[in-house]
Amino acid sequence: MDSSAACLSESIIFKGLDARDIDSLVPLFSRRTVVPGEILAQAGHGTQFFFLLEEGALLVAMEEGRAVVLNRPGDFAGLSMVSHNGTNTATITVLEKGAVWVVSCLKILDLTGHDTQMAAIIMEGWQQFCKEKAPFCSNLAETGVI
Amino acid sequence: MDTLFLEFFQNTGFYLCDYRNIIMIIVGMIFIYLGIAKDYEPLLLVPIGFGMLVGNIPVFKGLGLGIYENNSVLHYLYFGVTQGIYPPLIFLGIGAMTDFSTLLARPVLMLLGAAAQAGIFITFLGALALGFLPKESAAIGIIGGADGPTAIFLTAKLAPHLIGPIAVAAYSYMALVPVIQPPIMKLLTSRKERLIRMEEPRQVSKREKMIFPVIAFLLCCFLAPAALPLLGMLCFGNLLKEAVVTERLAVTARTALIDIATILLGLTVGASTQGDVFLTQNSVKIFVLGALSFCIATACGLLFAKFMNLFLKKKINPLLGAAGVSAVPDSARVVHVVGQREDPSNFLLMHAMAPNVSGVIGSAIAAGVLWSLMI
Amino acid sequence: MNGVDAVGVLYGLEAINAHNGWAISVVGVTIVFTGLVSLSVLISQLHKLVTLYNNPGRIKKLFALKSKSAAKAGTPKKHLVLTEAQKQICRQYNLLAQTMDDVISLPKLLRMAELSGLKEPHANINFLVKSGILCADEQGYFRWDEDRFIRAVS
Repeated sequence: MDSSAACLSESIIFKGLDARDIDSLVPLFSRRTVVPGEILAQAGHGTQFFFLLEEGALLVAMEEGRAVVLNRPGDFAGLSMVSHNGTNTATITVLEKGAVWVVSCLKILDLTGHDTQMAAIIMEGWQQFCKEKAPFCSNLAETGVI
Repeated sequence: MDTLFLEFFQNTGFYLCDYRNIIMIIVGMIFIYLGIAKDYEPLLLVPIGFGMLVGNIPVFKGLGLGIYENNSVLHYLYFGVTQGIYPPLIFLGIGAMTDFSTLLARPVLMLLGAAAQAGIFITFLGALALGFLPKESAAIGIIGGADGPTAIFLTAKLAPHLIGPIAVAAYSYMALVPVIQPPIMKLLTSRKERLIRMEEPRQVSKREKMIFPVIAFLLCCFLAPAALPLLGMLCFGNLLKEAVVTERLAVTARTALIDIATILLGLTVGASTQGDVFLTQNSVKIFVLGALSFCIATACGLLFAKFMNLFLKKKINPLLGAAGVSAVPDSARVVHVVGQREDPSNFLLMHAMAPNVSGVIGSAIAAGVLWSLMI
Repeated sequence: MNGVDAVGVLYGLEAINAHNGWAISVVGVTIVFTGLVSLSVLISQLHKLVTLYNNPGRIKKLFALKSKSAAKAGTPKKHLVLTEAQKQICRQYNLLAQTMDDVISLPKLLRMAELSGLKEPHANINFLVKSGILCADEQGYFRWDEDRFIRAVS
């Protein structure tokens, strides 16, 4: 198991998937090291990528001054937490040096947009993750991404 | 005319003088010397020393001059001692000048103040073993609290006939803190332990300092109601100090009021040491027991600090245990000096004030407990 | 050591036993210890009560936070041991936090830190979050844990 697979297995969102499904996701992710102060996504810009945290810490700054700090391996800066209708709703800034797995927004949406067991597992994990990390936004998990 | 001269001479001190008066006058002069020349507790030793001179001027019985004669001026002033009036007033002043910040910042150091009070109860047993009655033993034991007003207060309540020797012993040993404590401190601690540095205490808010005297008073007095006169005044004085709006009262309590009470207490306690009343076998025993009590209290504090270190992650300097005997602020100063002899950059004074002031509270509780157990 | 003299005064262990000396001593020491130990326990918690009194909003949050303690799994509870430099950072950010509302917006705090010219604001804010001095609430805002801050810098 390479490190992206390890990171996916550790993530609350993807850990419900079996090993074969995780292996199928691995090619979608590419690793990138990040440094403090680096902006990974800017609010108002078109959404291109989501980020799966392997190491370090990310600040997801939302509207009205709200924010979430993602600092555990497997935390996911993506979907409705950072994007709405193809536009970034949050600015993602690196707080601590580390590494993220970058995944194309469209590929993830394609994956979760179908009525498959994998999509159901991912969305269930996502709801759980949102409930834990961003409970202030109750409909975050249900809100459509596009 | 010869007869008149003879009668006058027979009324003079030279004629009435007893060797015991001479001894006490010499002791009084030593007290004055120690207070002025050596700066050992001058505010206490000078009034007591001069009181000894006053009390040992031989006077014709019946003239109403001696402290033990009804209607004499000294007797009226001494009323404040025998009825336990002066000690609470002094405690009011002590409260108004004491800063409990270090104690609030590190409450665990309060246990050292509690441990040092064990000396009181060990000496109580020693006094019983030497043939003193329980009430007398309790009064003697309190010398280990190293708190003059507390010792006088309890003695006035339990064994008024021993006020003189107990007060003199208590104040003498308090004045001799810089002489008595260092050898015990060195004996019971290693150099490595004396070098331990204390963590900087946290900042304490004004509000905490204001709430403390109220909580301390309620808790301690509910537990030991007999400590009420002393602790009540101590905490009240401290509240006056911390409340800010009562600063004028606090200033009076910690200056004029405590000074007046100290003068009257020191002078009358000194005057109560009339040679014929004071120089007895019991007084000698009291002095020996007092010294032992003081040493045991110091040792208990030190050993308990070492015991605490067995459990504490961040070790405390065991010298702080010696400050658990109240003697504010002398024993804290001694701790600081002994610590600095090993490491001149180690400042322990601030930390030693915590067990020191908790010792004041502890000895007042101990006095209250002994009083209630003896009545 | 033990004995009775000519006038019937008891000495030694016999005197101690006869006057119930052991029991009085044990009771006395116990009461003094109980009093001072309970007082020390009480005053060790005093600053927490004062902090709550100073920030009434925290009482509500305290209960809310307790029920969601799992959500704060990332907040370490053990006592912090900080270096002098870290303590200095805490003090600097405390000053900034004091200029903000009771609830702190992290992006705003970051911006203020950048404007104030503080070094490495991202890493330092991350440090404050990790150390638990900045705690997330359920609304996407953060609060300054005064109690933890005081303990950390003292």
